[in-house]
Amino acid sequence: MISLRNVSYTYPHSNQAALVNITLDIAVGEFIAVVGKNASGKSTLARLLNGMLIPSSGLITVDGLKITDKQDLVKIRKKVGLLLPSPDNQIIFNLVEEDVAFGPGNLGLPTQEIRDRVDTALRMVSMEEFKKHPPYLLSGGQKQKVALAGLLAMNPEYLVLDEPTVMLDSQSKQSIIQNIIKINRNLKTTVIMITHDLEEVIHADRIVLLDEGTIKGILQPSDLSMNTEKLEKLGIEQIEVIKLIDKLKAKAQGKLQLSSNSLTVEELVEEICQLS
Amino acid sequence: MSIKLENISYTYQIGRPFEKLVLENISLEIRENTIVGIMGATSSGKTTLLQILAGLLTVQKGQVIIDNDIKVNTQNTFVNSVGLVFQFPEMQFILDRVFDEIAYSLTFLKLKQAEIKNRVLESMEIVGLPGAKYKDRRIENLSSGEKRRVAIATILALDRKYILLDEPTAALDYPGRQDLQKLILRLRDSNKTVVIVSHDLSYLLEMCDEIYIISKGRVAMVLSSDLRPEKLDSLKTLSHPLPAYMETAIKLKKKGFDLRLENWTEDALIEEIIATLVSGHLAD
Repeated sequence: MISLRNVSYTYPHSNQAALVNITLDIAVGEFIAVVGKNASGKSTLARLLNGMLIPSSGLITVDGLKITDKQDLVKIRKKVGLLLPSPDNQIIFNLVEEDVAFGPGNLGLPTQEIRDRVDTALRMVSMEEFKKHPPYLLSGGQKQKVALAGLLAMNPEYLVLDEPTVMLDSQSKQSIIQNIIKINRNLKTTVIMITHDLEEVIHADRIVLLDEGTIKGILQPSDLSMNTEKLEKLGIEQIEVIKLIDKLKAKAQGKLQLSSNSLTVEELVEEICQLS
Repeated sequence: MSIKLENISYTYQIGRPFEKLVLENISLEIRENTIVGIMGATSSGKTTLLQILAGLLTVQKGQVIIDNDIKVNTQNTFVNSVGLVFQFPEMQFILDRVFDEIAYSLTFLKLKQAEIKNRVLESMEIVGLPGAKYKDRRIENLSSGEKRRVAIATILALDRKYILLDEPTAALDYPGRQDLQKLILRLRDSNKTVVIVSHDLSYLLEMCDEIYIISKGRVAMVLSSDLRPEKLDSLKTLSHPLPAYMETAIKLKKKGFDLRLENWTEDALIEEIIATLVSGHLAD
């Protein structure tokens, strides 16, 4: 379990805290989304979870290991993998497969195991055909997938993903999200996904709403339809289907008996059909 | 007046092991004073296309015609009418303060100080960063949305007629996206032509006059106001999901609902769905 107790963080040379008094428990196997507008503190939170940043005050533990203890920190970084939003900052080798192998290589694993992990990770992000390619010839979205493969090859117990789909097209986005859900459900890997796009996290167990460095609420996806106003205030776009349901209801002047529980077009169409 | 691309092809790493043809016989026209969207999957050649439009990549095959003047491989002439805002423009700022950053490119144009000041303040006003409040602000302390607007202001200050935006909404939050949309519409109103590369069809549909769908280096489809179900179906086969209101309407029709689907705007579709439901599905 990752546990945060009254965690605050202020960047050096800044007068304003980026995170203030965050208290949150993330259970093993959970899929947690952290959603908020730009500069709400999401990325700072991601960086604190694997000790890339150390809290200015408060306590973070991962499976009982303290992030402020130097010996524990090494173990924490093996457990918690962090994907940054800009892939160019984290790809270092000349070939895709070498880059993905860098992490597992540093774990001192046998060569065959490293190869297997690299192949599996590249398959998960649909990039196996590019394994002999130099990363600098890839598009932004492809680089993002390679960076994610590098992280997956480490088999982390906790996966912290900071805007993992930001440069991807819809299809790649969907396939990455489906893979993340699969990793979470099948391998029981805990996923903490940072995003400003609610559409990506309708399968999450909990959605943490962050604004101005504080937690403004924790929702389940089924609560979203009742929180449109709150989300709007926090600068978070409501998901498309709920916006559509609200518009349909408004246009029908309160006569349309839709439940607002649908989160996908398929669910909405099914619901409309059942009204007949 | 327009930018025309005629039979443009572009290959990276020619003659090397990773040679890759990214654009193949692309022809398209960007008419003056319009908003044009360019959409395509990751690595479909969108960014390459923009860089050719901006004159950053030399045309290998075909020709680019700007304002009825043939300009092939003459990079300098492009620079005067086309401005490109890169993906993540905030990574290319070089000065600390907003005014200085926007004024930087103007210092190479041998303009008088008063003219530079006017142009900078005017562009800041257009992008919604009023000079009095923002000119001395440090760029590092601005939000991502504000940084994008600074980048667009640098292009406006150069008085470019055609403004190219490469993935302007990437990593931008909801308020930032809404602000940017208003700004793009304002730019068209002030006689600019805007080309937007994006993955987001809903966002493009809300403001573009035309949308070019690029697939495997070719123009696979052009969307304008003539949206038809068959066109939208092929859009889905190109792996671009439709906005929820369109998808819902199409699926309801397939389920036997009597929808004509002639007008594809969100309001019209909602109205039609409600009208169809009125007989049986609405409470008294």
